[in-house]
Amino acid sequence: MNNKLNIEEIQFLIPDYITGSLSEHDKQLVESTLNESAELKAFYSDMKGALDFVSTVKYEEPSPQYWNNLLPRIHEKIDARASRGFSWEKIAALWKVAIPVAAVVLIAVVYLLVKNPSEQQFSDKNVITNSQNNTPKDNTEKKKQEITQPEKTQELANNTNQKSVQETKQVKRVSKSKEKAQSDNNIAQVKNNSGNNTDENSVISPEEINDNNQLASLNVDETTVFSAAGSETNIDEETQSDINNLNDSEKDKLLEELTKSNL
Amino acid sequence: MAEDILNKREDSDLVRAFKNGDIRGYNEIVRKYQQQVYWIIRKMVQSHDDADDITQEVFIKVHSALGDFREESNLFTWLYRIATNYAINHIRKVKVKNTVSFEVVTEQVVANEKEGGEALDEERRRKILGEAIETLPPQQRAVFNMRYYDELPYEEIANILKKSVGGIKANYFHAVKKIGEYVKARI
Repeated sequence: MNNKLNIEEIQFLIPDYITGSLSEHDKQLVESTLNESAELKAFYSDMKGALDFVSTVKYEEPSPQYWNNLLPRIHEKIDARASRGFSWEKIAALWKVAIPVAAVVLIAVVYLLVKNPSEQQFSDKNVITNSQNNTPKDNTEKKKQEITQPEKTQELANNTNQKSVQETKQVKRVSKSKEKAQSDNNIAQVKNNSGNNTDENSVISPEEINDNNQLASLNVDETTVFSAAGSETNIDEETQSDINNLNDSEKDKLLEELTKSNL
Repeated sequence: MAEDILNKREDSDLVRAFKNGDIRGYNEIVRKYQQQVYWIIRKMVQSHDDADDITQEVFIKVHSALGDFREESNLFTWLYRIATNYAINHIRKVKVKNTVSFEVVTEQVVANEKEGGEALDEERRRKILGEAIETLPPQQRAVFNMRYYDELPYEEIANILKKSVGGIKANYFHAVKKIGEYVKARI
């Protein structure tokens, strides 16, 4: 086994042995093995014949003028390609930028596609749940409502804005009502005190003052909102027209919201 | 050794000149190495016309890449690598075509041999060797030329072709063996 391995390794040294390119140590190794192996001798014989043949072949030389003309011809090609504006190097450089950019764009697109369907599914589920809970009659009404939903959404948005304006005005009215209620209470206290009246009922408690204030604000709001004249309400015409356009159920709903916000 | 150092210093100067915008640095590199590059390619592809085209392409490539040459290897090794790769690529593209054309030429040369003449014998030997080399795979062809004609060390051949030294030695052995078998059958 070792012998065979040695012969295989030595085979690779034979071409260099023939051309005289081996170190002294390797040269002696080949020579000693050649004497012992007929197979190796056969290899040596074939390869020596091949390399001797190769050494006798001379390639046809180009003319001397060829070497003088090579550089100008190279420059001609370089200039021609530069003027054409095309080069594989430019395309290769472009690819170095295009591939990373394309990768980033692809990742962004995939991310958006994955994100948006999940949100859409959530809203779809809500619609399905609501439709399952409703009766057919309700569905009909709701369909009518859904048809005009965008318009109503806009209206409610406007109403919300107006409501915030109204709340601001309500705060002012409440503060005025409180001042009025407070002054009434003071007057009542003065009267009670002057008459030495010990009747507890004649004194307005803080809770009653608060209640009076709320009632005052409520009354003012009700009067303000639903006044037919409009001039006493201190709201703008646009808001007034929006209110007039509401149907009864919407008016009730709006009143309920306003009431809750005040309470 | 001293000559190698001087040579390398000159190559560095030429490269530096080119990088500083002096085209004469490139021109000197072409004049200095054009014959070596040509013969590397010619012995691979056998045809002068093909060798001429490929040599020009190699130096055009050098012109575009010389600005980025980092001098980690010496200039000639870099040129050798480019030339070998371009030649191997050319061989792979036209391998079938060249095999057919050489067979036709061989038949005509054999037919003309009966007329005699030493010049024909020279031409015939050249053709047979060309055909024998054409039978080699591109890498064996490159290794044979580098080791036999250019007498490059195995380590440098391995560096140029990015292969192991053991693999290069095996390539050289098999290349010589195949040439021997082909030549023996034709002579």
